[in-house]
Amino acid sequence: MSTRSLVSSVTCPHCWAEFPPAQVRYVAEHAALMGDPVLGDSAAMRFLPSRFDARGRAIDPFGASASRMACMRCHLELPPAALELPQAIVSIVGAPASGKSVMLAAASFSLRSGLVVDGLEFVDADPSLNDLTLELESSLFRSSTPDSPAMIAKTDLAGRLYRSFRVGDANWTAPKPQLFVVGRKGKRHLLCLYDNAGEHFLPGADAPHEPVTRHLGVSRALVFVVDPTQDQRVIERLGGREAVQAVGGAGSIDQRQDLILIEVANRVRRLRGLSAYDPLPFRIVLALSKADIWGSVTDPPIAADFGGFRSGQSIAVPPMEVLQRADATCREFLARYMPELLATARALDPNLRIVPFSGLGNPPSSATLGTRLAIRPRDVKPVWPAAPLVVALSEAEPALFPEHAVG
Amino acid sequence: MSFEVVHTSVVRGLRGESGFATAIMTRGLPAGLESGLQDVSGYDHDSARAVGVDTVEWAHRIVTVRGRPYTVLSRVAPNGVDASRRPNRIAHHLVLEPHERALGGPAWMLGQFGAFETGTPEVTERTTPPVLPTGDLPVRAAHAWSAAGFDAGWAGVVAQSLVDHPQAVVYVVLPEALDALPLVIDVLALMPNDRRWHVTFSTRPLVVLPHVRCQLRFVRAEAPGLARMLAEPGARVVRVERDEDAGESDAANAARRGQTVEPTSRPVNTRVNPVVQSALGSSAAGVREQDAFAASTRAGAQVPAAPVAQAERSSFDDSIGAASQASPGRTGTDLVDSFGSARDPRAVQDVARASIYSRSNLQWPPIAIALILYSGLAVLGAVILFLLAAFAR
Repeated sequence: MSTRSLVSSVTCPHCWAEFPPAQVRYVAEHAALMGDPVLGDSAAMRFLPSRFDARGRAIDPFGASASRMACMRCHLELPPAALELPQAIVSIVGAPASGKSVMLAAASFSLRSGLVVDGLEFVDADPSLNDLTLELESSLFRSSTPDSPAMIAKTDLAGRLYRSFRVGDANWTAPKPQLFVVGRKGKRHLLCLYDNAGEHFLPGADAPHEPVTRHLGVSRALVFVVDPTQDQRVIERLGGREAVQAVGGAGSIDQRQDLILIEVANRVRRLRGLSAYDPLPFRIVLALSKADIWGSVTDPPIAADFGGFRSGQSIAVPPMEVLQRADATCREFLARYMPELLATARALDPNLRIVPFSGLGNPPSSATLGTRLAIRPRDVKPVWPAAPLVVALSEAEPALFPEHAVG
Repeated sequence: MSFEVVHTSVVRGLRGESGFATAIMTRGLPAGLESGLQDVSGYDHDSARAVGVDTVEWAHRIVTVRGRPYTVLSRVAPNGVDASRRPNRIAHHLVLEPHERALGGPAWMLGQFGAFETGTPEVTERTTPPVLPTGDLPVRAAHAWSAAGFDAGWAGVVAQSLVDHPQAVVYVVLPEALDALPLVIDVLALMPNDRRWHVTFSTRPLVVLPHVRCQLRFVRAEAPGLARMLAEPGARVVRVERDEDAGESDAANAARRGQTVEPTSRPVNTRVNPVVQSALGSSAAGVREQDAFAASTRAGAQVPAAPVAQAERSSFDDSIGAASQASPGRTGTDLVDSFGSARDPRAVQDVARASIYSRSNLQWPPIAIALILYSGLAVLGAVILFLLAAFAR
C-alpha cells in the first residue's frame, strides 16, 4: 500500500471551513444508512470513522467499506486530492452577463488540451463535481451537432449550481466548486473555481445564510471579468445598442461595473478582517471579455491579431511580452472609455494586470435561435480563453508559471 | 394571511438589483422566507438534461425556514429572454396559512388559481394577499390519466403508495414529457380530504434540498441519471407505460370507478410504549391516527394536538430499523429491493414480519398472571424462611 502525505489543514471547497484531515467524515456505503442530519434524508450518512480495513478504507457502522470523504461541517463530498494537495482557490467575479461562465468553460476546455502552456497537467479532481462545466464544454466546444445552435444559458441563483446543507437551525447554500488538479514543474495544486451568478456580487446581495461568495475570504487570486459592451460609452463608440446587440454584445444592460469591484473588495476586507489601509491580499486581474467585439476600437486594434499573437493557436497563452503589450493597450482603452473602473482597480491594487480574451471568438447571434443568444459550436474559436486564469495563477503560485509572473 | 412572491430576471428588481430578483412580493413576508423561496425558483432550460416530466414545474412543498414550516404552492416556467437575451424563467410562489388550504388539495388549488404571472411583471410590492380559490374536489375516476393514454388504474397505484407510505419518496416514471398537473389532481382526488395536503409533489424536480420536503416526483423515463435517483433507498417507484395495465388491485379499480383509495393493512407499530398504548387504545383506528400524526409532524403540517407522544413515529421507519437488526443475513440492498416495488404491498409486510416486538405482545392477562405467580413465590419463600428460623431455635 502506498503512503499518502496529507496537508496539515484542509479547507473545504464547499463551505470553506478549515479542519485537520483527521476530522474528515466518511460517507457510509451501506444502503440502509440513509439520512444525514446535515444533508437531509436523501443523502447517505456521514460518520467519523473509528475502524479501517487493511487498505485504509473506513468501515461504516453496518460494516461496509467507505472510501468517499466529506467535510466535517457541511458534510458535502470532498475529492481525495483535497486532503493531499495544497489548494489554489481563484475567485471569478463580474457583473451579470459579463461572460464568467463562458470564460470558465473555455478556459477549462483549452487547459485540458495541453496546448495552452507547455508541460501543464490539468485534470478534473472529480468529474462528478465538475459536471456543469463539462456540460457547458460539451455544448459549446465539443458538440456532436456542431451546426445546431447552442444556447448560452444564464447562471441561475438556484438549482444544480448550488448545494444546501443544514447547520444548527439554519439552512446554508453554497456554490458547487469546480475542482481541477493542476501540475507543472513537479508541483501540483488543487484548483478551485466557482461559477457564481453575477447577481451575487451586486451590492447588498451578500445574505448571511447564502455564503455563495465567501470564497473571497480564502481565495488566492481574483479574476474580475469586465464586459466593456455593457458600458454606454463603449456602446456609443461601437455604433449604438442595436449594433452592439447585433454582434452579440450586452447592449441593453447598463451596469456600474466599478461598483461591483468596490463591493467585492469590501467583502474581501470584511471576510479577512483587513483594515482600510491594508492592501488586498492578492493581485487583481481584470479580464476584458468579448474582445472580438470591442477590440477594433483600441489603439492599436487588438481584435485583428490580439496583440500580435494569433497564428493559428489562439487558445495558447501568449508570451509575456505579448501579454504586456495587450495590457498596455487595454489600459489606454479603459482610461479613455471606462476611466472610473480603471481608477478604482488601480486604487485597490496598483499592480493590477489586464488581459483581454474572447470566450467564443465569434459573436453569438440571436438570428440562429429566435430571440435567444445562441452560437453554432462550429463557429466557436476562443482566443486566449485561459490567459486570465493563467495570469492569476502565476501571481498566486509563481512556481507554477514563472514565465508569466511579473518580477 | 397568505403571501406571494414572484422571482424572475428583471432590469431592476424590488430592491434595485438587476438580473434574477424578486419582482413581486406581498408586504409583510416573514423574514428569511424570500431567500427560502429563491432556493426553489431554479429552472433547467435544457430539456434533454431535465429529469422532470413537465415543461412547467407545478409544485407543492413544505419549506422550512428558521425552524418554521411553510406550505408553498409554486409554478416555475420559462419566460422568454431577459435583457441580456439569455433564457429567463419566472417562479411564482404562494405561501398559505393552514386555514387557507382548500379541501380540494394542493394540485386542485394550483389548477384553480388563475393569477399566476406568466410574463415579466411590473415590479411592485403588493399590500393585499392573493385571492385564493376555495372549494372541494369530489372523488372521481382518473380521467386525466385516460386522456393522456394511460390506464386510469395507475392513478390508484400512485395514490396507494402515498397513502400507505407517507414518509417515502415516490417517483412516477412516465414515458415522455407531458402536462402532469391534471395527473396529480387525479391522484389526490382519490385520497381522503385530510390526506391531500400531506402530499408534497413536483412535476419537474430539480434538486433535493434538506429544508424542502417534496414526496411525489414526476420524472421522464429517458432522463439522464435517473437510475441513480431511483436507487435511493426507501424510494418507491411507479413505472407507467402506455400499453400496460395497472392490474386489478383494489386501488387500481378504485381509480377506474372513482372511489377513495383506502390504506392497505399496515404493519403494526413496532415500538413498545405502555403509556402511549393506554392513551390510544388498541384499535386499528388508533394506529391510523398515529401514522397520520407522524406524517404531519414530519411534513411540518400544523394539525390539532393529538394525545400521542412524538416519540411514537411511523411504523415504516421502525420496520426498516427492526428488520435490519433482526435479519443480519439480509443486506441493505435486500431491504431496499423489498421496499422498491410499489405494486406489491406484501414487500412491506415481509419486512414487518422481521420485527422483534409487536403491539400484540403487550397483553395485560399474562402480565397479571406473572405478577400473581411472583407474589405467590415471594410469600412462600418468606413462610419457609420463618419456619426454618423457628426450627433452628
